[in-house]
Amino acid sequence: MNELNKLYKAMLLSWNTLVKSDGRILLDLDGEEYPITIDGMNLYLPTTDVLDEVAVGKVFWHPACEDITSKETEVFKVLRKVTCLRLLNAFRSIPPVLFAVSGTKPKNSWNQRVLDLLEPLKGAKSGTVKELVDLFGRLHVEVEENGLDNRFVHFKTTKSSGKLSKISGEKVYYSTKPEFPFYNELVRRIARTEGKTDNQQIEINNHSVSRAAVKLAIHLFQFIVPAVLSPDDHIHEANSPIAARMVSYLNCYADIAEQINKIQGTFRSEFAKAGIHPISLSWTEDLENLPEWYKQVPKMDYNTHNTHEETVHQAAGRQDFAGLMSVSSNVNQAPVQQTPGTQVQQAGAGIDPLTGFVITPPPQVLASDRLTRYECNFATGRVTHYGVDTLTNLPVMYICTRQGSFLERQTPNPGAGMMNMLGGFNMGMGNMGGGGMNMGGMNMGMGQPMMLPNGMIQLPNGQVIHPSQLNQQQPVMPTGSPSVTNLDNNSGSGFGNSPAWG
Amino acid sequence: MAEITTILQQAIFGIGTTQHDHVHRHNTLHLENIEIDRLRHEQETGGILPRTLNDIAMNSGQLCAQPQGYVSVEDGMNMRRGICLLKFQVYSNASESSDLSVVCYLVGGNSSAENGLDGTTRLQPVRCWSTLTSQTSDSHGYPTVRQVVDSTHQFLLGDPYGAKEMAAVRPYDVASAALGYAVTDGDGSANNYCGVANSDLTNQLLMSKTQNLNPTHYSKELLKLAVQTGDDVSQNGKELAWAIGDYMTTSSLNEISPHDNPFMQTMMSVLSVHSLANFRGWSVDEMAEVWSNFADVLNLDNMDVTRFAVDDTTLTTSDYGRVNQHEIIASEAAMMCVHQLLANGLMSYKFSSTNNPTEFDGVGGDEGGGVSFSPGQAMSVLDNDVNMEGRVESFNRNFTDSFFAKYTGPYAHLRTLINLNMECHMFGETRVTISFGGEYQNSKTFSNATYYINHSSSSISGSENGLLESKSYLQNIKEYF
Repeated sequence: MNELNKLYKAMLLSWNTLVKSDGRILLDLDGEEYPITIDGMNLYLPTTDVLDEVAVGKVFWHPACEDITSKETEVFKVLRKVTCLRLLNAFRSIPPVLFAVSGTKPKNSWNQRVLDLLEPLKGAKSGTVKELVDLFGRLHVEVEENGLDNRFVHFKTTKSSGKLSKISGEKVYYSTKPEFPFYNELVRRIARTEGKTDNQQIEINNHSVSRAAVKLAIHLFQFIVPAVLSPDDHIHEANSPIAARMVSYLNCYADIAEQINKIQGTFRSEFAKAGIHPISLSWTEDLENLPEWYKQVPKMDYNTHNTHEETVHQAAGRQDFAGLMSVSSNVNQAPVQQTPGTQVQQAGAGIDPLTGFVITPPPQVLASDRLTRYECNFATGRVTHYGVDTLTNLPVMYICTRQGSFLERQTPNPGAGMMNMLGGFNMGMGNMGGGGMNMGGMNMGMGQPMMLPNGMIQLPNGQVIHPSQLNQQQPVMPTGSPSVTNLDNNSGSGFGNSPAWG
Repeated sequence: MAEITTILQQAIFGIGTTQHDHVHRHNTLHLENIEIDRLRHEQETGGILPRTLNDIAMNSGQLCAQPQGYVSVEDGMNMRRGICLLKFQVYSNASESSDLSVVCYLVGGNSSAENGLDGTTRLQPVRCWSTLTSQTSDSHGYPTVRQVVDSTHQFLLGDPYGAKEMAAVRPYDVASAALGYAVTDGDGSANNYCGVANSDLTNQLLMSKTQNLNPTHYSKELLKLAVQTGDDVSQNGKELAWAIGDYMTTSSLNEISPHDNPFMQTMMSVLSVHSLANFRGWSVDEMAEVWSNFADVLNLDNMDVTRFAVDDTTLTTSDYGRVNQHEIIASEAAMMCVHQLLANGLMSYKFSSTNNPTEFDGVGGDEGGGVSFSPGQAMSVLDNDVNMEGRVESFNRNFTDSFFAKYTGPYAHLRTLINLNMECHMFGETRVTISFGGEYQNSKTFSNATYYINHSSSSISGSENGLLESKSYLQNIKEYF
């Protein structure tokens, strides 16, 4: 096995993966083996023996050959997942041991730092501990489907294309900075509820926990991974263009892993008894040899260039912000304290002159969405931005508070979407069939208006009207996408999973 | 197009040997990260020099290391396949005439040397080349005839069973993909952009210059495209889509349509076939209908299997599908050889060559380029060719430049020492024996059935991935600069 493969194997083994004798790489979680696949093909270690076998239908692990211009390759995405999963598993395994230790008699060798760490754990109620376990159970490796960002850690890689570093003064090709989305959310929520009692329930990404548990969670985060306090001090840069993204990423990963290892070192015997061992990082020193070694394996598909568009990835990345019901984290807006009663409104750009509502569009708008207009609603105290999702041509709504804080993004339910598309399709057919149809006929051609269970009538463009309005309706031009400007205030019921749609 | 007259002169039929399954390996452009740095540096200091571009292109074009699936042809490769060579004379005006040769392989029917051709047997066009004969006068004023090879093309076909989605990856295709992306990116619909119908091989026949078989040509075209359009955009303020569109009309990138080919054109117009969608070859009956003298010029002698000793390639050569130096470089040499033979007007050529200086007495024995050739038998595409030696010489020189140059450097650490022993037939297969660093005992022999090159060409990607990857490459490099 050549040096490069030895390095690859060492890093893979340190991430809970197995390398089978035929080179196949599997994820090993608590004895269960899971295959790692890319486009349906298994991942293999590119040793000479494996390469000399039939290589059709395999993907090889060779992230070091990534082209400097490429976006994240498919293999790098796997690297991202397995490393984050390793860190998450290591982090999760620590609190139970610490709770056990905190119950025992203090040892003389413990310094003040250790005592500070254990003190809050000692007094924790069993209910709070259970809540804490639940809370950490929600930690995730990726942004979830529904857009919630429960990621324990995210390594943000940035291309710097050989600019000079502000830290070391050397040429930098890539830099990686750790981010802790879940921790940030905890801190944000606890700051928002300053002064409340410990029993107060706090909503953390659609999960409610007591304030005491959140405080304890923050405490543990800060002691186990001190980097959460100052991520900027843990930026790692790659000074060689070869495998730049990977090297900066892995050095940053090793930094965080080192911190988790450190807490295990403090209570070595207790962790050893629990069967928890430090994350192996011995291979990281070999990363500096990559410029010499990376040619030991030829460039491989899925490793050099991204085959899939990054846009999908980006959209998901932004969705996580959209899913957050957050106000303070974005740069464009000053933190808005939601203290009822006091309404300090300064007229200016972004403020609706009539209502005084903040109408700056929410910065968390998905890249594909185009907002067209907004609407202030005094009754609910909400600003609603209407727009179109350019990907699907379906209308979207962004609902914000009167202070301009973003609350949620709503899209029509799939049934409505289908209906709309059918409408567009029928329209085309109608046109072909009889050129001389009158406007009423065209309206029918778009698909039949549908009677809803509540007695209202739903038009193919997604509009819900009273039957008496039917004849007054202006024909809607066949744009294929429903025109959102026709929606009145109540038509908001057409969005989301409103039961009116049946 | 001017009025042309096409006359069938010869139809020679022969037979190939059984083959191992071939794999798809397409051209890729892999820039070393160091080289990208160099390009960037030059661009920031006043523009990229053509010389740098050539240098980098030479080192960065290669076949993809990993095979992308097996090539599928009708009835598989493990059979003796009939092949045929058609020679046409094409007249367009008085002073010039050109000879067009088309190689096809045969599918179906019961054709054999004893029974003759079966009317249902179909001819699948593989490649074609034309030689131009012009009447000129020499320096003394005496009339003389000049003959040159003026076009060499291969046909590209998809999976005959329609099972696999394949795409052409000629430089032209990558440019169109990038163009499509540039246009859709401009109006925000790039997410819905799903590729270029023109590059899709599932349902059509395309033509490709044999030059595209040269990975260096491929990489040079793409680099030129990236740099040229980049300059147009940043310096002349052109829209990217316009810049790519303009560049695509250049002759080095552009490709012809099968409808322009005199053979295809005549077949289509006489048979009233207007679309090449689902094209599965011309049947012998159709051939006879179009060329009334088909039966007269027919020559089935070489189809007689009893005339040759049995030579089962599957027993004497290595199979494909692995990732090792031998297979990758042998495939590259075979593809390159097909192009260079045609470009230099050779019908077949047998030679061995090496860039290992210990085998030819170092610089003293160097014939230029640090490579030594031992030429064997060669055959010209022309009849009664007086310039055979010249053709062999120019083949050697071109083969050195396009193939050996990137493996040969002035110092030992820059070299990959290769020993090649090749036998390449335009009307048959190409056999490559290759070894590295003088280790003859570890040599491997590959047989590349180049009469399947319409399916196995390095301008075809075995999956959509190839085109996607090239497209995102262009896009990435554009963003990087």
